[in-house]
Formats: sequence, structure tokens, C-alpha cells
Amino acid sequence: MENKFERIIENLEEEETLTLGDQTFLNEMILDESIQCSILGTLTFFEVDFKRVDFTGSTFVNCEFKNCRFKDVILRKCEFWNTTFENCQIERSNLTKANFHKGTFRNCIFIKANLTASNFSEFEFIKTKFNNSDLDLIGARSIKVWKLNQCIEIEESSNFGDLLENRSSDG
Amino acid sequence: MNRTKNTVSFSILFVFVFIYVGKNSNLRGTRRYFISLKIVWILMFGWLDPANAKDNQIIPGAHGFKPPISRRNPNFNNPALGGARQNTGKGVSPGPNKPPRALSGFRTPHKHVKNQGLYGGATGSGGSGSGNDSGNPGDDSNQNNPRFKSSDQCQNPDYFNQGQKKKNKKNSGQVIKKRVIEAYQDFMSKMKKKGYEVNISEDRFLKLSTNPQTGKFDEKSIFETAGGLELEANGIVNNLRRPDNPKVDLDFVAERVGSGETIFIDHKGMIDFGSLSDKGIDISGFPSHESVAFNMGKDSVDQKGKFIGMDQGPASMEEVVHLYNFENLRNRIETPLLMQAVLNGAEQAGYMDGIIFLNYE
Repeated sequence: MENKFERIIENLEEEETLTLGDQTFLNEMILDESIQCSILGTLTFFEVDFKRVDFTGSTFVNCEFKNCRFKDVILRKCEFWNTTFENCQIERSNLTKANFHKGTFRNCIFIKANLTASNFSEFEFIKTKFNNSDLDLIGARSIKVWKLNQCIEIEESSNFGDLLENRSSDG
Repeated sequence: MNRTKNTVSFSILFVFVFIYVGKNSNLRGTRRYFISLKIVWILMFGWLDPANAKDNQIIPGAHGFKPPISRRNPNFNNPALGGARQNTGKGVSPGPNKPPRALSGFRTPHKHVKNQGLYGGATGSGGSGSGNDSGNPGDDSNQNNPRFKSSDQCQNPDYFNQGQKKKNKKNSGQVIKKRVIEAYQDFMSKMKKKGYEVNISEDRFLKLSTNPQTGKFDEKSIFETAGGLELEANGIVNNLRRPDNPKVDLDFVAERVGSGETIFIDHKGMIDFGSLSDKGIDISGFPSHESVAFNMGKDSVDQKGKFIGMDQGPASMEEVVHLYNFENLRNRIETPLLMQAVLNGAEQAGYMDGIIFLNYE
């Protein structure tokens, strides 16, 4: 298994911010890295495990995460633009004050994740579950939440977490 | 077919060797038989590489013989890492009923190498190793996740080296005090260039650059601190500090100069995608900076209301200020446009107060 992404991180100069784009990472494992304030554009992560990775304040644009696992990952204050998550598991991760614009969570599961004060706009949740996650103070604008072919559209909400929790637990 | 061929060859060779040993030595009876057998065995199979030997159906106990163990262990000379236990160098296949399992000598060392726990967990039983607190194997708790890692990854010959790489990596990611002190010096020098009279101590800069959530220095906190303190240097606020109640998740609290009223400050850094295009990355499908700025302005209104009423938090939206810092924006011509976009976004969301711009000249 080649950990291409980890190698890129490790080859950064001291204090260099990670700026990366147009790449695909397949079947990798990223452990114990701190890449705060990175700018990541048009990246595809397929079957990548992130564990104890600190992305605080990073920007993700046009990125895709498929079949990825995040554990103890810090995505606090990150900006996500047109970024999609599919079949991902996000466990014990910190997404506080993260902003998500125009993207999707599809078939994802959040376990003990903290999304307090995060913000979603023009975003879709499709068959996504939240287990024991902190969903306080989540802001939402133009959101679609899909479950079992039913869709709820939310124009604006400042306690979106309540709805997510309910949609997550009612079947 | 191969089995028959090998059996015939073995028999012919055995007869030849048995006769030869009889004529040229004093060995007789059972001893002569076994010695001959051994010689033939060596002649026939001794030269085989064990990796190939797994396909040889004559060798007993060859089932489950996996190619990786025929490779020389990269840590051959390091007994602590369990290398020199293989027979490969001797060219001897293992005896009957003793499958050549060097696995015990191959796996155990993983436990001794720092940072190997997760790797072991990731591949131990098909899970990806992040499902429980201890990082033990096989705890894939997402039933929807179709993927499994192949067990081959468990035997990656680079395994032992991974821990070493971790120790030697150039970018540790940890922000040390020295880095914060450098940031402080940069900040002071920048303020001086701008003509500001500042009296900000290194200790204070260090304290503000500590992430209140983790208690550690980090890049994001340094950036926030530099922006917040510039407001102070600018004479807009004083007594900038982190909020006392960590649940009030706004970057700073300060007093407004003049009125003395308490305000909460949230620092927003403007993104510049130019750094990506510099590297030849196609950003044509990216949102424009203007669109990003517009959304930042729009989102700010909802964010202003989030922490109202919390203990030691803002009492109203008027007490929350969003600080938009254009420091990272390289094309200064864009700045007025982006400032307007922020205001337009806030206006569309219905609240335009409490917006401060920084580094927009």
C-alpha cells in the first residue's frame, strides 16, 4: 500500500501550507498528521482512512470522498465547496464551525461526531445517519434531506440538528 | 501431471543415488536408505526457492505458504525486529508436517514498533482498523461501508519501515513555541511597517495563539491572533482575549475603544485559489472568490445569532463582529469587489452590521 498523500505531507517544508489539487488517492491510510489551513482542490479520496489528522481551517473545493473513514479527525473551521462524501464513516471527529456549501453526504454515518455550530448551504443529505453526535447550533440554508425516497426541503434553519437527529432515528 | 513427473524423477534419482552410496561408502541398511533419501531430496528440492515451493505439491505442509515470507526480511540483521528466522538463505524446505510458517517471527515485531498499532488493526481481520478506541483489528462498525482491506496489507514488507518514516518525517505538523515567537516577530515588524504603535508582549501573543480547545499552539490560532491583535493595534478594540466560556465558540472577546462595550469577534480569512493555479491546478470549475465572499457574508448573519444568551456569551447580534481578513489575497484589485460581495451577502441575509475588513488596502 502506497501512502501517496502521507508522503506529500511529509515532504512539505517546515511551516509550508499544503496546497494540492487534481489528484486521486486510493486505498491509503493517513495517520497522525497536522495540515492546518491547507487548500485542497479537485481531489478524490477512495477508500482512504484518516485517523488523528488535523485539517483545522482547511479549504476543500470540488473534492470527493468515497468509502473513506475518518476517526479522531479535526475538520474544525474547514470550508467545503462542492465536496461530496459517499459511504463514509465519520467517527469521533470534530467538525465544529465547519462550513459546507453545495455538496452531499450520501450513505454516510456520523458516530460521536461533533458538528456544533457548523453551517450547511445548498447541501443534500441522502440516507445519512447521526449516532450519538453533537448537532447543536447547526445552521442550514437551502438543504435537502433524503430518507427512503422521501425528501424534506429546508429553506432556512438555525436548529437544523434537531431535524437531522429525527430523520436519522425514525427508521 | 507434475506430481507424476516429479515422483518418477525422484524414484529414478533415488535408485541411482542408493547404488552410488552403496558402492562408494560403508553405509549399509537403513542408514544407507535414509542418507540416499536425504541426498535425493536435497538434489531435487533443495535449490527451490520457497516462493515457488508452494506450488510444488510434493512438499508436505506447503499449504498456506505465502510468497511474502520467502522475501528476505528487510530487518534481517535486527533480531529485535524479528528478521533472521527464515530458512530461505539455506535453500532448505521445511520438513514434513512443519509448514514453513515464519509468521510468528514476522508478525510479533509489529508490536514493538511505534505507530504500528493501527496498521495492525487496519488489516488484521479485514476491517480498516478504526472502529474502537484501542485501534484493534476487525472493528468495522459501518455496516454500509462495502470495503474491506485485503489481508495482504498485513504482510506489506514495508511495514517495519513505516514507523521509522513517522519518526523521521520532515513535517511534524506540531507548532512549537519557536514558530509562534517567529510569528510574533513577524507581526510586530508588520505593525511597525504599517506605522502602528503597539505594546503587545510576546507572552500575550503566545497565550492568544494557544487553541482554547486543545491547549496547544497551532497555525489557525496564530493567524487568528495576528488578525485580532491588528484590530487592537488599529485602535478599534482593546483587551483582546479568548472567551472565558469555551462553549461560546467565537474567536475573541474584547472591548470596543471609545464606548467600552464588550464585543465578540469571529475572524474569517479570505481564501485565495491562486495558490492552486500557480501549481498548474485547473481552478476553472471552482467557485469565484466573489461567490465565496458573498456566502461568507451571508453565513455571518446566522453565525452572529448562534451563541446569544450563553453564559458569558453575547447578549445580542450587535455584540458579534465578523472580521474579514484579506491578508492571503494576492490580487489586491479584487479586494473592493470582494468587500462588496461580503456586504451583499450579509444584506441578503438581512443584517449588515458588525462587519470589519482587514488588510484590504
